Formats: sequence, structure tokens, C-alpha cells
Amino acid sequence: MAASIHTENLSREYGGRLALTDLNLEVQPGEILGFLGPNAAGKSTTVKILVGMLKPSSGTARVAGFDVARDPLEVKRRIGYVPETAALYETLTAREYLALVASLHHQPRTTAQARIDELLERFDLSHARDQRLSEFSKGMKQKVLITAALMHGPEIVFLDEPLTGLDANAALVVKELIRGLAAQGRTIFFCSHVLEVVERVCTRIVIIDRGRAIADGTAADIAARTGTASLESAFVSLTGQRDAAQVTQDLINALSR
Amino acid sequence: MAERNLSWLGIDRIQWQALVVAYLRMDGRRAGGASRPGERPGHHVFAAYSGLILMTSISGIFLAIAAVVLEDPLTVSVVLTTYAAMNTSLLLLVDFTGLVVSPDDYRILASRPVDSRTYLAARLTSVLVYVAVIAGVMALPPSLVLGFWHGLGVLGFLAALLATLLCCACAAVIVIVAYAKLVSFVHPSRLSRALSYLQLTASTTFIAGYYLVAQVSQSAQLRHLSVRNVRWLWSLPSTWFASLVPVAGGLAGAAEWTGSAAAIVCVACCVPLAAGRLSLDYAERLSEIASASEPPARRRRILPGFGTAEAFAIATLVRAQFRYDPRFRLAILGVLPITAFYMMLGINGGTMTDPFVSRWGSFGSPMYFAVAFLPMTLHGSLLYSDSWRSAWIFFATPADPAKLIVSAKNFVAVFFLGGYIVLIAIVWSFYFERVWHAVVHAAFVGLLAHFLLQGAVILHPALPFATEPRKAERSSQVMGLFFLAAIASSIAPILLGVFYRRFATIAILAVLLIAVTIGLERVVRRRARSAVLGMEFRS
Repeated sequence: MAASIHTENLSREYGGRLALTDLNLEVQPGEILGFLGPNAAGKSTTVKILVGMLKPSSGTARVAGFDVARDPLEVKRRIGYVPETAALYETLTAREYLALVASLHHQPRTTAQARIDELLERFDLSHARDQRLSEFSKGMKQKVLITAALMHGPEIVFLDEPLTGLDANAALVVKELIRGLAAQGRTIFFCSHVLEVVERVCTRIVIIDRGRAIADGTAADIAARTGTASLESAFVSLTGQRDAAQVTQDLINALSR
Repeated sequence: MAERNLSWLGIDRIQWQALVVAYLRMDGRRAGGASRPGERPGHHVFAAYSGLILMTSISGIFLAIAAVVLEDPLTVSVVLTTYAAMNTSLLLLVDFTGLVVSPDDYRILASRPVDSRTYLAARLTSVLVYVAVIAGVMALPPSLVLGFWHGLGVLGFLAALLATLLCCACAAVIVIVAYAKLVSFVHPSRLSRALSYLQLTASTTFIAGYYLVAQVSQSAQLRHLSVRNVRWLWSLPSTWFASLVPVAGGLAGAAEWTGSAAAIVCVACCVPLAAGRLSLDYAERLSEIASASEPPARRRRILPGFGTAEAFAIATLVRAQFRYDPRFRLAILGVLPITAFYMMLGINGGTMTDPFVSRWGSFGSPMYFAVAFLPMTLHGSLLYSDSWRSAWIFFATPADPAKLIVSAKNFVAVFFLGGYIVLIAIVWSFYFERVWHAVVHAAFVGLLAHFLLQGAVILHPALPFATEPRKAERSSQVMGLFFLAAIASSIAPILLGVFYRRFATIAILAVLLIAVTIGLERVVRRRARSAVLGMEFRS
């Protein structure tokens, strides 16, 4: 079976600084890949390249069988993306925004409208569907972003911190949704800092640090390889530049002064 | 047919249509503020566009008056196209990242299957619709005058409308290209600040323009003004567009025909120029530039009298708002051209006289109107801000909200009203017989203006920059304050004149004004303290 996502020596630099270095990655259909890394490790850069928002400085990336640099529109037709920051046209209402997204994906208006109403209902947003997005809470905006990413039935879904701002019930729904979508054969590319969620939801985990992939496998594999008991300890041992206990003590000392 | 043409141009019709509708909705709503709970989403679009149309049609009526006064149709057309193009350019420049290309477009659309060409077509369409609405409304009254007063007929009327629309469209393209060039050298926030000063200059020109119209209507010589005799005017593209009017009216010579041809070439050149700037790639660059940090501001000293916790916080906040919030800065600085205009009127009308010497001479001076209007403007500007949501900090910290309200009032009173009064004292000192007359009169006028500021706080005590700006709401408040300022500015000079007759009465007046200031200050504090009891943060 052809890989949903395939990268070869993928690199990206910003003003002479390498944000991503020779990333080689292969993700199969139906896989839920947890993509982890400390702040500024290159996670968002990788996602942005894979969804066609950034161009790679070197190397290649194929998503849904298409080269992201050569056929970006074909890639974008087949993917859904929940960005890390809630980028929305805030003067539009939830319904208007979703109708816009549906049109950009060429969904027939009547089908789209019915689907929008249904998804808003499922996400408990139907009461606010005609309110402007600027009046939405963080969690409500996140639900709109998730709806906008899924409403056209994408083959591959990129989720960058999708649970931000969601309450426990909504977060549970999203986690189950991720599993359900994967069971349908869709590929999920899941970026998060919440290691417990990644450990519980993802079938495979890749950790990157300073632009390079440093671990690949299941949570148990990675823990075993680093000789630690959990994914959290493995993550700290692989990426921690300073001892967490020492940093905490330094902070407490600074606050006591 | 349309679909085939669009697809031949590489434009996706469905996406184009969806984006244009969304952009027009957003353009309208941005000016109207957020909706209130239960309000129809379309309400503010209508309110925002109707406000814009009303303001533009007032300019159109003034241009129509000038068109009636001027005898030469070409001159009328040049005034119309030049003014309309200037107005369009400024509107687009000041709100470029809102109206033309937004960095948000890249963040939202870059992961969607939207081709750059479709995005260009959608952005260009929405900009042109916006420009066409403004230009059309502005051009309608003077075009009617050209068609039916100057006898150019229906063709002349239509040509005047078309010339204005095309000139504004080309101006929009030039603005897009110029901004794109500038933003690669200057940080967008600095550029936006510079543009707000440009807008201030434009508003001065605007007021001076009205003054000129009033003068033109009284001057028999200017009636015969003709651009045909001013050669350099033919170097302006707006003159080329204006020459379409005499061509359509059958009054054209070689110069007008050449001008018209140049206008058509200008339109043809503008299309490829815009194409390179309205792309998602450009929106991406804009997004990258906008997210790059600006060089840090200088560290500021603690201002005298603003050293306590709340006062220091407010001084920092107001200074930062003045530096970074163009709306606040323009509201404060916007009073300067109005003052200059009233000064001109006063000088021209012979009413800029020393009130210590001339018993009634200065009482009618329109200057007082500007002085009385400033506290109202200051108070209004202090309340509203685009970053009103940041006001949560006033509620989540142990700061005393009443002290914050009073400190904000004091800061603008000392640094903005105070500065303004010093400026006026300097100007008056040139016209008054004695410098001390100017100083004392300015001080008394300043204290009276401060009463108005205190009165405004007593009437509406609110935390600074904690209210969402709503255009329609502000307009109605401005009208109310305008009325109040008019009454105050007519009564105050008469009262002051009565006291200026003797030294003793001047001293009594000084004591009286200081006493009232202290008394009102107590009321302000009490009012602020009672008002904060019912305050809560609503986002």
C-alpha cells in the first residue's frame, strides 16, 4: 500500500537557521502518528510544509501521493488541517465561515449546509451558529476549526494541538473521533505537547528535536529504548537540556527573592 | 459563459464567488464592531456601509457645490477625479491589511485548495467593489451637475461617473503596489503609524478644501478658473481621466483626446501591476513581516505626579496606546487641524482679539469651539479601544478601578489638554496685546475645558480602553457632545470677559475656578467609586 505521507531528506531553513534537517518519514493509511518535540523543535514547520503552507528548502514530501511542492492544490484537496493558533475570519459567523470553507472545497451548497448544521449540532454549537466568531470562546473556536478541517471528508488529517481550549467532554469526543477516522482508513498526523493524550491515542510516535527526528516507534518501544518507564520520562531523557528539578528550584528561588 | 471565461483565466468560479462574498461581509462588519447577543449578523454590515455612504455623500455634495460655482467642466472633472482618487488612496492605505491583503488570508487559506489566481481575482473584486461604492456615491452629485447644469447631457454625466470610478480603481492599484514596496523596507506597524499621520494631514487638507470651497463660492475670479491654463496639471493622471468628460460632452480639443488616451493606457497597465501584489505568496510575506518583532521602544521615565501604582500603570498604558493605537492617536491629534481651521476663521473674521482689551471682540471666535470640543474627544477616545478585551487585567489585579478612572482623566488633562492649552497660549500671545493676557486667558479656558472633561467623567465613568469601539454609537455620542461643546463655547467667553475688567475680579475668578475644579474633582472620585461597584468584565 502506498504511504499517505512520505518525506525524504526534508529540510527547511529560516534566514540561515535550519528549522528542519533531513526528515525522513513514512506514514501509512489508518495510522495515527503522534509528532512530538519541545518548543521550536520543528513540528509546526513540518506540518506547514506537509499541508502546503511552506515550501521545503530541500528534500521532497509526498502527501496522498502528490508532491507538496509540485502539486500543492491536489494535496490540499485531500487533507484537513487544524492549525495551532485559531486563525479564523472572526467577523464571519460560524455558519458563514464553514460555508466559505465548504465552497473552497467545492462541496455542493445544499449538502454542505446540511453537514454544517449537523456538525455544529454534534459539537453543541448550533445555538451559536449565527454569532460572529469573534464572540466565541477559545474552545468554541477550536470546535469550528476541527469542523472546518473534517467537513470535506479528507484522506489525511493534520492536527496541531487540537485539544487546546476544549472541555473534558469535547476533548473526549475529539479523541474518539480521531480513532474513528483512523478506523475508516484515514491518516492522522497528531502534534501535541500533552504526552498522556499522545500515548493513549497514537499508534506510533515520532519525536523531533532541533529539526531532527530522534525517536520513532510506539510509546513502549521509545520508553524501552531509553531505559525509562514512561513516554514522559523518555521524552525528557531525549530532549531535556536541563534537569527539570533544577529548573523548578531556580524558578522558586527567583519568585522568593 | 461567465464560468468558461473565468476558467479560461485560471479562476475557480465557486471559490471566487465564496471569497468575494466573505470579503465584502468582512469589510462591512469590521467597521461596525461586534454584534450584540441576539442581533442579526447582517445588521452591522448595513450600519457600517450606510455610515460610509453618508460621509462620502457629504463630500459629494460639497463637490457638487464647487461644480456649480466653477464654469469650466474640465476643471470640475479634475477637482472631482483628484479628490476621489486621494480619498480612495487614503482609505486603502490606512487600512491596507484589513481591506486589501491581510496576513490572516495566508494563515487561513494557505492550507485550502485555493489557487493564487483565484485569490487575486477575489481580492481585486472586493477592493474594486469597495472603491466603486465610495467613488460612485461621491461622484454622483457632481456628475449630475456636469451632465445637467453644465449641459454635457447624459453622456457627460455617465463619463464623469466612469472617469471617477476608473481613476479611483487605478489609484487603488497604485496604492497596492506602493504599499507592497514600502512594506519591504519599513515594518508594517511603523508604516501604519506613518500612514495615520498622513491621514491627519489629509484631514487638514479636507478641512482646508471645504474652506476653499466656501471661499471659491464667494470669489468671482475663481469662477473662471480653468486647468487648461495650468500646464503642469496635465502631468497628473487624474487630469487624464477627467478629460474623458469633455470628450463625451463633445467639448474636447487635442489635449483632452490625448489625456483620454493616456487614461485608457493607464487602466491597461494597472491590471498586470496589481496581479503581482494580490497573491497568497504576498500575503505570506506580509504575515512573516508582521510577525517579526519591531525594534524595542525607548525606556521611559516615570512622569512627575504619576508615580503611584495605578497612576503609573495608566500613564504607561495611555502612552503606549498613543504610540501604537492609530485610532487613539488620530482622535487626539485630529483636533489640531480643526483648531487650525477655526484659528484661520478667527483671523479672517477679525475675532482673534485680546479679551482683556476688546470687550466683545473675541467672544464670537470659533477657536473656543475647538477648545470645548477637545475634552469631549479626549474622554471618548479614552473609553474605546480595539484592544478592549485586554481590560480583563483591571478586573484580575488588585488595582483600584476608581483610581484607574481618575488617573486616566488626570493623565489626559495634564499631558494632552495641558499641551494643547500651552500651544494655544503661544498662538494667542502673537495676537494679544500682552503675553500675560494670553497666558491667563489660556489658563482660564483650560480650567473651563477641564470642567467639561470632569463633567464627561461624571456622566460616564468607565475604565480606560475597556469598551469596544462601535461606529454608530460613537457618532451619536459625538453629535451630543458637539451640541454641548457649542453651548459651552458660546457662554464661556462672555463670562470671562466680564471678569477681565479688573485685577480683583481676575483674582476672584482664579480662586473660583480652582475651587470649582477641586469640588468637581471630589465629585469625580465619588462618582468613579460608586460606578466601579457595578462594573464587570464582559468579553
